[in-house]
Amino acid sequence: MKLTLSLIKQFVDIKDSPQRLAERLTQAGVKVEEVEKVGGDYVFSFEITTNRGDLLGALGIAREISAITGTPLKSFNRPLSPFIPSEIKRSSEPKDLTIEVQNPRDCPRYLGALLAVKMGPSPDWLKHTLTLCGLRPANNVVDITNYLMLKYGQPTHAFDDQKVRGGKITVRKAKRGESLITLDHKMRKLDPHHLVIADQGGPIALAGVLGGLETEISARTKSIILEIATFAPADVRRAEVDFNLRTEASLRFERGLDPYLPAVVFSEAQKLLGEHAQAKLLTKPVDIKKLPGPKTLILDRAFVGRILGIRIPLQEIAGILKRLGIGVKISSMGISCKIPAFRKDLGEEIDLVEEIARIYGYEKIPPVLPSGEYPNPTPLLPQKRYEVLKQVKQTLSRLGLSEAYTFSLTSKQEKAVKVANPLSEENAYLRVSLLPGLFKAARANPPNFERVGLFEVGKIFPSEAINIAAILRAKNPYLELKGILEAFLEELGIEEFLFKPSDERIADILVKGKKIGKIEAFREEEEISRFELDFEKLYSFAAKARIVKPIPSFPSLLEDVSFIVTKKTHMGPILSKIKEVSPLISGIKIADVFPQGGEEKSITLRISYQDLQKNLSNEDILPTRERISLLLKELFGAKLR
Amino acid sequence: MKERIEILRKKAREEIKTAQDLAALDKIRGKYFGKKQGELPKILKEVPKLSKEERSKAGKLVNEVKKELLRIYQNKKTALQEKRAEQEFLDVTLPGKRPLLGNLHPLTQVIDQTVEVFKRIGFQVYEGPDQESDLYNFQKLNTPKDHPARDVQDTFYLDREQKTLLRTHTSPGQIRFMETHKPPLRIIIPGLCYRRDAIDATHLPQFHQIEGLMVDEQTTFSDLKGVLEFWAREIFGEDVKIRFYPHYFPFTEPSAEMEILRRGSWLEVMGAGMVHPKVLAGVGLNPKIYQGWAFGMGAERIAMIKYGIPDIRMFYQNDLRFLRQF
Repeated sequence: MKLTLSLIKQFVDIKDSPQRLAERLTQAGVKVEEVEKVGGDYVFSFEITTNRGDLLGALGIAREISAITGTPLKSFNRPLSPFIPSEIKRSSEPKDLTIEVQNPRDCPRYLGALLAVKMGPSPDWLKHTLTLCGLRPANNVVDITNYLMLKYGQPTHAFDDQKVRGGKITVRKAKRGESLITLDHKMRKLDPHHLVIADQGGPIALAGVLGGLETEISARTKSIILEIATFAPADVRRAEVDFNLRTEASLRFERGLDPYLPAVVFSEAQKLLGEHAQAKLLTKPVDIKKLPGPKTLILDRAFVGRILGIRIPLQEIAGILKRLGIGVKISSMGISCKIPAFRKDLGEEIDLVEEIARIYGYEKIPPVLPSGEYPNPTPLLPQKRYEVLKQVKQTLSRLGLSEAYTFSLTSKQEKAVKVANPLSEENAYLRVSLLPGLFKAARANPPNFERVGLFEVGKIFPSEAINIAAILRAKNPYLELKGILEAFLEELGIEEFLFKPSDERIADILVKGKKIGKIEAFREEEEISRFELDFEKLYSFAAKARIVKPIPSFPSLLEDVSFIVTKKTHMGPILSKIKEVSPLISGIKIADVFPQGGEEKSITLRISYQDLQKNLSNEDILPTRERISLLLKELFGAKLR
Repeated sequence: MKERIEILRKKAREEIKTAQDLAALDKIRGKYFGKKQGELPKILKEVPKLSKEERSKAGKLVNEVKKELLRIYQNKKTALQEKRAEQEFLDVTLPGKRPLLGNLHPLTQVIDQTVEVFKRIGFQVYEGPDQESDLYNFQKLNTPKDHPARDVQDTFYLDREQKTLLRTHTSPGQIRFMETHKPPLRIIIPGLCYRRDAIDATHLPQFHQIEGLMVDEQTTFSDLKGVLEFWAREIFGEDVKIRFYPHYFPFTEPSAEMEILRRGSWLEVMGAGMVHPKVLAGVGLNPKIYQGWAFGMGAERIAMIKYGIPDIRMFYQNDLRFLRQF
């Protein structure tokens, strides 16, 4: 919201420089984003929090300045009821304005007045002020209503009286099936949740939000019905949400406005319209109001100290409250605070604590570290899991992969949950796997990158289970990625894992017989390999502590065995079966693989034997060697060489 | 015999001394020590043929010579090896062979760093679900259905009745934890949040937040300021300039925003405040006995400020030229 300094100065004297004023306001919670010097004036851009309906006008800002600096507000005309000029009081004209408010809870106050006007352009000073504050000048009547809104924070609306049917205005909820074309030329379908201003023929405005096109004032307008009202925030919000509509008026009403404002604003409206639109009141203004009684809160002074952590003298607390317009009475019960009607946001004791803190100055509250007792230091389960996840990420990065973050919302995946109101079809589904996102990320890296290795640890949906996935784009990516995977599993203390082919180029990863993930190779313009694991399953198998294995003091014995098998025989099962033959076997390496022409290949394995107790001799390993040969022949149909 | 051995010793010594290179030296080794043809083994074979007195003397001498020659041979070999190394030119300024290193994503690093800072003062990690209910995401956080504050957080809903949604902040985790744990509490909640925002240099539909909560019988606004300043100094350096000013959140009162001074501008890094008594009462804690404070920050935002990253989209593009810098 933008306001000029001259507007604010109409309500309070300002001794600080504009920059200093901006600082002081920000320090008190009225954030000034920018101060711009324009000619002889300054334009302040404010960011007002959503709880302060009273600050969206110069009067509210001036009140804040008064509270912060202690400078009292300038006096201004504050009638409780609209002023009625003597000639109107005396007249008994047939022309009359009837207004009905069906439910005062929806509309605590409606002030309507019938005025004859002469439409025309606004004076330059008015156009200039509106422009500086970001509003577009239109004509004298509309501009005056906008000016009043900037000055008091109270929206005002003018209907073309001749377009209002039947001379009666009703503030009511819309009936099922009713509709309204608003000033923006859009047709709005209404229902009983929406508060409208209606004439004999139907709705003519969305109360507190936007006027109707039919009753819009134009250059030909001869008389207006001026509306200055207070609408209930809930009703205005409902219309905003249902029609996706936010206006200067609705922004103010939705926060709750001061119901005493309309009479105050009417007084100045009469003056300005009289001066610049030759306006003449035609009938008595109608003022329908059911104003709430004053609200009182009891503030416990000890509560202030308990929340803020500092002791503020009672006199100072009372002083701050008074400067904010709160009526203060100190008794043994505590500080009794009469809340002014314009502070709809002060509803309970804690709100007063904030008022005191912000005017006293947040910067005056010293920063200290908490001295309380630590909660039970035994790590919660989530903390433990967090540490393991950290270890997972560190291990994968150590193994040469870079961590990627991809989106939870992706394009359509099988069995994926769809968001009800997505921004686009491309990001409408909650991912069921990390792989598509990682694939996109790998592809997005420039093609001249020889090696692209990424991993991600993240949630899949709807289970929100955590998966670990990796992708490698390089020469011969499968074996390299599998090597990374194996080293990774071993780092986590998982030593017994098995790769079981599930399809041509995919293997399931099994630990103790349970599938924890899969690894695959494929080609799509480039050679890619990738794997995805279920973290929960991995976590259950990860070793908690390391037990050191002794270093052998005797040399190991190496022996080669060569054999021929069919080309499509998998080496994995052969290696694991051989390992099972004897605990003396400490390792098996594939020394050589070469095709044998036709459908066969020749394999040479280098087997190392180790005994921790003694030096092995050829005779010692003979039985094992024989069992291996037998195994190869019978289980795998190998032809030994 | 003795003469023969002495002549051999002299000759071998000379040849070893004058060997030009390792290949020649190796030939000499074969000539004198070689198992089959070597001179020394040949002589050794003849020793048993001698008389008893001659035998032991000769044997001793041969072994002595063998030891000496071996020693000279080893020394010469080492010297020749060093000489060869010197002669092969090594360009010591060549670019080194870089090892293959991976990295952790900058968001992981920023989140971990913050978690570590808070762990030092007794906080533990707790995580909440991404898929939340309107009840926990808004209502239990003192934000009823028609509250204007909801606008600021455009929400992704998961059903037409708008009962379930993707969480718009990590604050619902506070409620979940307080409902299941008794004070004193100190938790830190990192997690993904979702908002229906148009994508630009500073906005994305998903981003990370880090939430913190402390509840105790005695903990004040003063403590909150102290903890946040401590965090700011740890993350941005000892001499970081900080300011706090009043703000508004439906679930904290008094509320504040913290900014740091960076390259001449004040940048917002954190929202915080005392937990609203209504929120405490809502989870079954008597606000006359307990009080607490909470804070929330955007991890992407912190990383962007800390590392000077100009565009939030870079975090999710996963270009290695970006990732490898961390």
